[in-house]
Amino acid sequence: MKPIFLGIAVLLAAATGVVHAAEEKASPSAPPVASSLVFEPEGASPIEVFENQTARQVMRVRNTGTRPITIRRVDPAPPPGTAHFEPRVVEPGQSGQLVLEKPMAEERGLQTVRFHLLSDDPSRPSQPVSFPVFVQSAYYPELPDIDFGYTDRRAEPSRTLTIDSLETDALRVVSIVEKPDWLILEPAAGNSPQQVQLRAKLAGSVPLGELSRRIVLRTNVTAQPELVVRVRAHVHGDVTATPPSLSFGAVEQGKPAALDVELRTSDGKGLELAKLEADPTELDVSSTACGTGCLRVHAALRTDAMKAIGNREIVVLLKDRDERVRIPYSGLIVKAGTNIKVLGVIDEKTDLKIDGKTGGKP
Amino acid sequence: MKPRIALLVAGLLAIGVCAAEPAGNTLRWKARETAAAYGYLIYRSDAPDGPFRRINARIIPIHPDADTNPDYAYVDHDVREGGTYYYRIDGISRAGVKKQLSPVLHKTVGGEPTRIDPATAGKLGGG
Repeated sequence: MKPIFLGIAVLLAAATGVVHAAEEKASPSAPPVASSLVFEPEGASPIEVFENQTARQVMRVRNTGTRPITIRRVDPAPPPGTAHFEPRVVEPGQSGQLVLEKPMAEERGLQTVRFHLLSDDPSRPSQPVSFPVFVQSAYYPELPDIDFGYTDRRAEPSRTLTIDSLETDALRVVSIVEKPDWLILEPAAGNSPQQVQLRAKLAGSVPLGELSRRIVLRTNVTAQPELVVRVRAHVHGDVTATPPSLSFGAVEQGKPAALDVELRTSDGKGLELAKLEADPTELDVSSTACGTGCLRVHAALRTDAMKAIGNREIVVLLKDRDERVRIPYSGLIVKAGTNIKVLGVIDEKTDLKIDGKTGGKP
Repeated sequence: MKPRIALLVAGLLAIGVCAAEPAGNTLRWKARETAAAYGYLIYRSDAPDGPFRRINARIIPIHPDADTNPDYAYVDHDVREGGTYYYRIDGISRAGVKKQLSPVLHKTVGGEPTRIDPATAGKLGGG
C-alpha cells in the first residue's frame, strides 16, 4: 500500500475568533456615506470566462448628485487589470461608461474582481467597484495531476492521465511547453476524439526526495489553449522510509510532540548513520539502530513558540552510501488551550466522513 | 482533498426531452440536491458517442430557490425538422468543477423522446 496520509486538524475556536476580530476592525462603526456615483453593470452577471482569459465588465456610471464629479483614476485591487472611463467629468444627472478588464488566472469558480475608484466626490472620494466572475476550465479534470506517490527510482514508474475537453471536436496536444527533465511524457489518443491520454514516466535520472513540478501543454482548444498538469513524486533509492513523511498536525504550544521514521535498506546491506540534518529551532532529532539494515530516526518537535511549519525536511546522511534520505515534515504549533478538532486521517482506501456524511475518496 | 469531491451536488431526478414547440427541442430536468452547485451545461451531438459540444452560451444558473426542487428547462432552437440530436447535462459547482449528471438522451425533432443507456454514452469522467 502506498500510504498517502493526510492528517487534518482544524482549529475551530481560535481561528474563528481571529477572523471575526479582523472583520470588526475593518468595518467602520458608522454606515458608509452614500456616493453620488452609482454603478450599473451592463449585460449578464456574473461574467463567464475560461482560465487565463480576461474578464471584461462594462458599467454605466451615473452621477446622482448636484455637482459635477471628476473621476481621477480607477485601479485594480490588486493588479493586474485595466480601467477606461469616459467622460472624465460626469455632470449631475448624466452617465459615463466605465470599462474594467481583469486577466483571470488559473483559479476556477465564482470570484469577485475588485477595482478602486478615486474621484473628487466630497461625499466619498474613494470607493470600491467590484463585479463577479465565474472562471471555468475547458478540461476535465479541472485540476489534473499526476502523482507517483512514494516510489522507487529504479522501478522507473509510469502513470497515465486522461484529459477530456468538450470545447473542441477532437482534442490534440499541439506541444509540450514546459516539463521537468526527469519526466518522460508521451501524449496519445484517448478512447474518444475529445480525449487525450498523457503517459508519464519517471526517468532514471530523477532526483531523490519529494518533487513537485508542473507540466504545461498547448492544445488545440481555442478557449483555453494552455493546460497545466501538476506532477508529484516522492522518490527513494536503496533506502526506504516508513512513513515517508512526518505530519505533526496541530500541537498546542508547550505540549510534547514526537514521531519516528524507520529507515530500511532494500539491498540487504547494513545501515549506519553519518549525520542527521534538521533545523534545530524546530526539531530535536536522534537515531537508534533497529537491527541489520534498519535505522530509526526520532524527531521531537520544539513547541515553545507558535508557528506553522511546512516545506521542511530532515536529511539523513549514511555511511558508505551516496544516497541522502529526505524526510519532509510539517506541523502547526498553536496557542495553549486551543480547541483542536481532528477530523480524521485519510488514505487512499478510506472515505472522508464529516458529521456522518461521506465525502468520497480523497 | 480533490475538488471533485465537492461536486456531489446535483443529481438529476428526472430528465426529459420533448418537442415543446415547432423546430425546438425542450430539455426539462429537476435537481435533487444543489448544495455547492452553480449551474448546468447542456451538450449536444449528432451521434450518441459524440463529439458533444456545449450549446448554452451561458451557464444555466441554479435557481435562487433551489431548496424547492424547481424545474429547469432549456430550449434548443438550433434544430431541423426530422433531425436526431443527442443531449447530456453536466453540473458545475461554485468551485468550477464539472460532472456529468444525465445519461445521453436522443430526440428526433417531431418524434418521441428515448432514453439511452448511460453505459453506452460518451462520459466525461465519473467524479
